[in-house]
Amino acid sequence: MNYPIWDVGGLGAGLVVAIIAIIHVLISHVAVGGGAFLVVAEIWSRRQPDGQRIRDWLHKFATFFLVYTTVVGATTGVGIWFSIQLASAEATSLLIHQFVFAWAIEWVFFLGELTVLYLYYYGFKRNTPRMQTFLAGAYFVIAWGSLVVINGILTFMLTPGAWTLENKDIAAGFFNPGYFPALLIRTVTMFLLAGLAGFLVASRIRDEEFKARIIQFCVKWVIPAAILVPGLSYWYFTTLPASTVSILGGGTVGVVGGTLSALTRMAILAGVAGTLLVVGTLVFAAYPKTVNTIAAISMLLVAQLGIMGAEFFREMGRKPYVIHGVLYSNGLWVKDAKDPAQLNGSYLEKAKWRGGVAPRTLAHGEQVFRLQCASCHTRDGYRSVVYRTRDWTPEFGSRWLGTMQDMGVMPPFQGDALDKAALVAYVLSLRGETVDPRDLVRDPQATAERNGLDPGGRGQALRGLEVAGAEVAQ
Amino acid sequence: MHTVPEEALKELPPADKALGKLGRALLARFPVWPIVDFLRNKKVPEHRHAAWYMMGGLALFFFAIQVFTGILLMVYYRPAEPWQSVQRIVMEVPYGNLMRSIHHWSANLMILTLFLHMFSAYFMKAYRAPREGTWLVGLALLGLCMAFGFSGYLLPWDDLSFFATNVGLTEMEKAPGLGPWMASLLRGGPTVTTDTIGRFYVLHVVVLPLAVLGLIGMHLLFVQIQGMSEPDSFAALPARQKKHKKFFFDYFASELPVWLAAFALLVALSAVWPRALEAEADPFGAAPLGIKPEWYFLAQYQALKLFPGKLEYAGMALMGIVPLLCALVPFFDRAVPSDRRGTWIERAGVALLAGFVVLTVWGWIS
Amino acid sequence: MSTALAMAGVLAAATASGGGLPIPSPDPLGYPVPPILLQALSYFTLTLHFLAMNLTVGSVFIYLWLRIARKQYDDRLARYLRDLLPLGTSYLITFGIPPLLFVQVLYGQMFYSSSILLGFHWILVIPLVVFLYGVFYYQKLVKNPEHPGVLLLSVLAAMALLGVGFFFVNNITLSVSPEKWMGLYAKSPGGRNLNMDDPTLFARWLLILAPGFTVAGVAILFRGVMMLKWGLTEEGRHNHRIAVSVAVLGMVLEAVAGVWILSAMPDDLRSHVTSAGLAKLLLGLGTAMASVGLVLVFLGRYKASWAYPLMASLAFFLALAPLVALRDVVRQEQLRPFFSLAEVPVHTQWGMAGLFAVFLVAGLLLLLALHMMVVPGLIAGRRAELRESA
Repeated sequence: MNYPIWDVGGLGAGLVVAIIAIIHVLISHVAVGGGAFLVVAEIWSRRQPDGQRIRDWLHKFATFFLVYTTVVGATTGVGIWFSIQLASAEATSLLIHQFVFAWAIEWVFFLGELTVLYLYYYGFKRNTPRMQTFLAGAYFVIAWGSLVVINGILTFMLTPGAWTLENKDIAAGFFNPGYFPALLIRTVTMFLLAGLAGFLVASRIRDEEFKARIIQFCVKWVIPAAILVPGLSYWYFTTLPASTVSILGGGTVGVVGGTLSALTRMAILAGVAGTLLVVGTLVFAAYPKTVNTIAAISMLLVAQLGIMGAEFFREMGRKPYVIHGVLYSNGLWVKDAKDPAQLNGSYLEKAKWRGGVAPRTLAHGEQVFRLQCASCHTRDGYRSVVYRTRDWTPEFGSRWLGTMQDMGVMPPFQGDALDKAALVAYVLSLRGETVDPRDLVRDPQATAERNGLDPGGRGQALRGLEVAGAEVAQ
Repeated sequence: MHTVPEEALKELPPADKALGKLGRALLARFPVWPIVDFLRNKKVPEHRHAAWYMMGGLALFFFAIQVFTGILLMVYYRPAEPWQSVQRIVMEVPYGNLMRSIHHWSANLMILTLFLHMFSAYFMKAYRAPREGTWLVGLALLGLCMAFGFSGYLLPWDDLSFFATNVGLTEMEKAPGLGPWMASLLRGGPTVTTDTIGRFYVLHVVVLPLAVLGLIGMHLLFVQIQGMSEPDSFAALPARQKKHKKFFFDYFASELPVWLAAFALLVALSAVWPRALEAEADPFGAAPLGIKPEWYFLAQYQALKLFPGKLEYAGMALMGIVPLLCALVPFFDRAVPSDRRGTWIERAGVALLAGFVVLTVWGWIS
Repeated sequence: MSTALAMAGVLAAATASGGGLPIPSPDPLGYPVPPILLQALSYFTLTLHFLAMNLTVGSVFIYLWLRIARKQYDDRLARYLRDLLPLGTSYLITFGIPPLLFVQVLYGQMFYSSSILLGFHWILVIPLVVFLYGVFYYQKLVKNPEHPGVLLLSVLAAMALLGVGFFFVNNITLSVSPEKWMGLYAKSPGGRNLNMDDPTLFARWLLILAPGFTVAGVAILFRGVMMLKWGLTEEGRHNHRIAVSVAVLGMVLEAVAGVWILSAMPDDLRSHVTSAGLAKLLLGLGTAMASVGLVLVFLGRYKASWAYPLMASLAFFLALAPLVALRDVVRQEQLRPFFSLAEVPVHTQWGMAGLFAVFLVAGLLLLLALHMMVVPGLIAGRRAELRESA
């Protein structure tokens, strides 16, 4: 309630972050893995009889690498940062204040990475072989260093470990339970992606024999990930919070058994894409002369989709938090949520960004929607509220809001019966139903008793929640 | 007993190995060597239009996915209680929701690739003699796949599918001549009821699959007999400069990654946007706002809207004439590169494509 | 959706009556080191960011002008500037990161709020930067950079660069005007807002862009010295002439912007800037160092010595740094009614700060050493290439 909400129509601010982030993750991993690729290729080329020819190819790779990683990679990295402050200013502020020097150190790595890459690239034809190998090596070490830093902050959000808001223990937060498995998964994935980028640049080679040799060289970069990712993923899963594991295993808790939660679907996507990459690489290894640009781009597309699955998984695994156990996705602090007076008091009065909204109006409901729902849900687009509430009645809606946190994927509702009624009236109005919020708060006690229900709403069947398929943009 | 041809013996492993023995025994009983040999020597021209030549294979891949996921969905689907059984697929059946979503996305992508396949064949003039038959069968396949889409859309029996089908059948009814009769045949009565489901279901899982499988067989057989068509730029090259790839496995290996990417795309789309199931259809309820047909019918739908009142018959006629003209194109284009008719056909194609895209987008946003 | 729009209307009407100013409370974690340190780091890196940004802005306009003028030697100078553009862009992005980081630590609650209110334009910065950066590489790598289509792309990239600067100025000015926030939020919750009614907006825009010509002038001076050293006297003089003219042009525009911004400021703020000791000192220092820099650029034409461009670079750095600090002094003055840095508690992270210092120093030393090993060879190579082509 501290910050205004960036209200982005049918997309939602979260999806804007995701779109930028997914592009960035692929490229930034290529940017690190590609460094190792350059070192090994430098050494390998100098041991081959036709080393000059390989180096000419390597120059093409380096050009592609430089342009792609700086123009799209570095900028989308900044883009993530731009978008998270719009989508979740509260969480961004917390991360920045806790990890400002970690980010500053990461920036030193960026500066080094960029400068060393320029020295390598512009000196490609002039530097001594030893200097080129050294520069490529320095580039890789520095670039990997930036991963070592950012990985701490990324994993912190899902598994903050022993860090708390009170102890502010930066070491515990940084080297959290998820840190090492994630670091290793990302590292081997980087090598894989460097190999895929190599396929793309190699696919342009005319001479088939030569192309086959380069392709075989690139194939080897996929091997570490193919062997290690399954085991590392298992290790990673063991570090996940219990709530995440239960969502992953059995659909959303308490709603419907046996369906696939969004989280599970993303895990499936990552697994399927990983398997397809191994299959595709085997095909490339068996028929290296046939690799063409379309095939190489197809493999990068598979990788892009797999990364999308994995990163969505990491993001959704935190539900309903943006920093697990500390801050809910809509900017509500867990410490505030634990205080019933704070939680159940009138919301409109506390909300800084309410403007001059009058209570018990649809505008009141929209305010509540924006400030409490719009961080994750759109009205009728991505994660549509209209779709999720398609069989709501006014009474059911009010009761549901009171218990939504029990499912494990929603934060508690902030506010009193008035706020709830206003929100329900607003949500129903999106479907064209006219409900006067004042009618909903007249006598909840009597209404509930008439229907034989607990007025607090506990223990009711929870329809219309995040059932399978509810993530739909309709 | 049949003898095994000399060429086959050379290719098989030595007779004292298990694989060799098996191969000889099989070839002796089933003399398919000429077919195997034919396929082994099949060649694909290599040129820069390769991407367009992948669309047919890609559509076939999506069709295979449709058959697989369709069979799985059939296990739980009950035409007698359509919405409830789909609800169960979505809510209870393990991975049912994923399979349904993949079925949905694959259907859409199949029709999209078929459109791309058709237009690329059109602009590269692959329909010209001797391939008129392939072209006609291809058009029929596109029509049948759209019928697949239309019949499958109703089966979940939710609000959206019910009213959209209603709109489609009402349009069909307006067509002069066979229109009312066709609409009533499909509906099984004057209105869309659960009887309609039975008809659509049988169409969707028996009639159309048999027809499509048969026509795909013909289409592929024609391609095998006549060889791949060559774009003009490639055909004009001197024989020395024409590069070919062996279909097995060189060409196949370069196309396989595209199929892998298509599969990953299906899973990704299904993960991010699973197919929704709206409330159960209520024939007496109000139609939800903004009911529209699926995107591949939008152009026709929008075009019909352009002909109000009495002019509607002109719109209907247009709907009939355009496919007919498409079917007649191979007989009009005389396959002489310098022929003026060729340019006219190209211009007509551009107009058709532009019209299709504009009407679809217009229908989408209006 | 139409209902949602109607709701926005309801809200807008309801807002007119207003509540208190919606200023978010500062982050509960507080500052990790005393704010003065964060400010110093921010001034230092922001100055570097402005220099790289100015180099890029100046280079792209001079490049376009040379491409159209096409007098003798213009083509070769244009190629030099074209090659500088991707480098300038990458450093402008990289040096832009730390000041943006520190502004979020220091003034996060103000900055995030204004960013969200301008959300649409703020996120637009990213595709614009990808576009202009891509164009700068494309025109360097493409086989025929003379093609009119490529030139058109360069023009669009230059405009994108100006657009990015404009959005930044909007955000920074809006972040100190919380009284406008609620109105803009009601007008467009999707962030299609701009801070157009700020009286200093365009003056500030000009103020940050104008030194571009001067900085690009220094870059051209480097080339001029190089030409003289390589015995290409005539080309060296040509480069010098251009360097001097653009450097003067930049400073004249900067003076105009300075006067403009002072006259556009609210009276109390202006009297603060022109009377407070610190502000006067910073303004004076900046002006003095800029004059020194300009003199050095002038002198550079008499002798082929690296000293002139190097000293001029230093002078302009020292001219810009006080102005960057002044900018923050003005901001604090503007924020005084709402917020001061002293309100925020400090929970020190000296360990992390020390670690950062170690990495920074080690990193800079490594880069310096690598430059000394690699760059002389590159310059020699370039010289050989130039001789071959001449």
